[in-house]
Amino acid sequence: MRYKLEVAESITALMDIDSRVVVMGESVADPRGIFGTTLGASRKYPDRVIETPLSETMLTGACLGLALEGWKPIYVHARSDFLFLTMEHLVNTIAKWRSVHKGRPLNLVIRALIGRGWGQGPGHSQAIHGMFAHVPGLRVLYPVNPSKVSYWMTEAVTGDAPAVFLEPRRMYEIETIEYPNWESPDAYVITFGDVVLDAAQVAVNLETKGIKLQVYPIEDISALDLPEEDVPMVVVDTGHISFGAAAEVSARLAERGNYRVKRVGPPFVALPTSSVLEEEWYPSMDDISSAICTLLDISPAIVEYRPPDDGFTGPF
Amino acid sequence: MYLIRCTEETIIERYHRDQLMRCPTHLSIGQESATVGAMMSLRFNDHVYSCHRSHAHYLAKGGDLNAMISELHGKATGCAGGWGGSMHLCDESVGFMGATPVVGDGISMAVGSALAFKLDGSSNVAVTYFGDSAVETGQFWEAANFSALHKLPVLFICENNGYATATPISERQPPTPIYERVRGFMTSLSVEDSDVAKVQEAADICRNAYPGFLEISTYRYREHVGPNYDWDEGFRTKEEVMAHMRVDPLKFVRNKLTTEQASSIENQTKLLVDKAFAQAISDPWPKGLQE
Repeated sequence: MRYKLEVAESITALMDIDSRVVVMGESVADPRGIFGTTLGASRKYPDRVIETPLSETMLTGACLGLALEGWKPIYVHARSDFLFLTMEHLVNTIAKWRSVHKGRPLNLVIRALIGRGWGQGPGHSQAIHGMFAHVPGLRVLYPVNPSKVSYWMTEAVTGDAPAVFLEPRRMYEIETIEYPNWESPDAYVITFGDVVLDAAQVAVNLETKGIKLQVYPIEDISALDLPEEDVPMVVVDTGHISFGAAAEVSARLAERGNYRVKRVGPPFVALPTSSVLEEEWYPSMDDISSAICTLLDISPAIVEYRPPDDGFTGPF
Repeated sequence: MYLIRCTEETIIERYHRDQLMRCPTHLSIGQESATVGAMMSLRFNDHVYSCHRSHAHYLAKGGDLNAMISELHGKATGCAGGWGGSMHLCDESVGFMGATPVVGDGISMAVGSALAFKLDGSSNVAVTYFGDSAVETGQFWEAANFSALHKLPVLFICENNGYATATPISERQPPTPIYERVRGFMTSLSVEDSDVAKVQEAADICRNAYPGFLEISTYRYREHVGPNYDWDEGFRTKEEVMAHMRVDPLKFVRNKLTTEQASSIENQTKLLVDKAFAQAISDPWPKGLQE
């Protein structure tokens, strides 16, 4: 089943089980229902899918109030960029609440889509999982595998810690991610978000050249479980690598004594809108492949070009 | 009211001298009748959110005195286990849901509780106390809009003491009174804090307005944060502060009692407060970060 249907069905299923789950957000109850992900829920439970005004700061605080009264709010944002309006509560009240109130459980989820492609530009595209993971008290989830969406959604809604649940828009029409799995790989490519698709293609290509590259998507950002082997590792992110999730991975690997690590990510400028610049900005399969080959000290493998838009025709 | 005054007078006496309460502390002295008058209109099951100046709200809602004083001392027995301090008081058992250090945050949380009450079909009201500066935040107007739209059971209580730290309201807001600006959204009244019974009367109307807003004119005697007077800083005069202290709303209540009644209340309260401090000082420290 496609990623976006997994999101939709997991929410409805959680609402079936628990009458305290409530969905809110701008456009959650409109005819499009956040790319269809809240449509089934709003038809089945119109009283528990609440359309909201554009008051993100206040409503994030209201989610905390709801959670303190025993409700389980899922607050949805069509783009992650809107989350900056929620930061006051996410960082200053929600993330702190359990530490200053003796571990009191808080069931609260903030869902947001990370845009990509078709000119989403600097304010409709930001992968900011690293920022949230920097704050103790928030559980940051960034699922990519469609078959695990339901698992992570259940974790987010039923877990005792408030969760930020990030969804790459580019994954929305994807049903499965296929890549070879190796018992003792030559190298790893650790991915955050939709670049798992590019990494998977690189792994398939490198297999034909005899290189065993293991794709390793990280979906639970807060847990950040890393591979144990002492082999070269490339970390790929669409979030900025400076002070970001890829930097954290590199640091942890280095502290463990593995220095054969490279980060691959966008340049340190905001994402431009023009399609030519956009294509240059995102980490490409060539970027990933070159980084692997450099670490393995072999000549660069040429990777077939595949455009990053995978059929997305916009606008949003 | 005297419990709040006595607790805070004791904090003043010990704050710098003992160096045992090591956290920023915002005192409510002078504002007690605003807090208590509004609280008198609430039911036990109403849920209250406060701001950085939270001692009066916590105590008036029935928050545990010992747990508060221990919290100020950073002890394990504090209401936040020593993790919160003065700006994170909380006692859910009496419906005091919490305080927050950043101006405006408690307003939003109360809206969430009010939405929960509406979804639950409960008759409880969510109440949020804040100062005049909170109506300068976006959160307040977002809350006014949303709670009016959904007719939420929420009571907004603005304790207008005229200053944000040391900046007078005239330098921060247009001259139209706050309660008049809020009237476009909901039932909105204003009242002076001089007579606690009149505050309650106004709060009764606003509590049942779904939503309601009450602006209470009040006055803070001490500095924004800490135990001292601040008239030597130059933003307000000693005469201005003394003029307010001469019409102290606490004295107004005391004058309604016989001398014996008043002394009896004051003596018993002082004993309770002194006991809470002694207990806090002997209470254990938190065991460690991993606990």
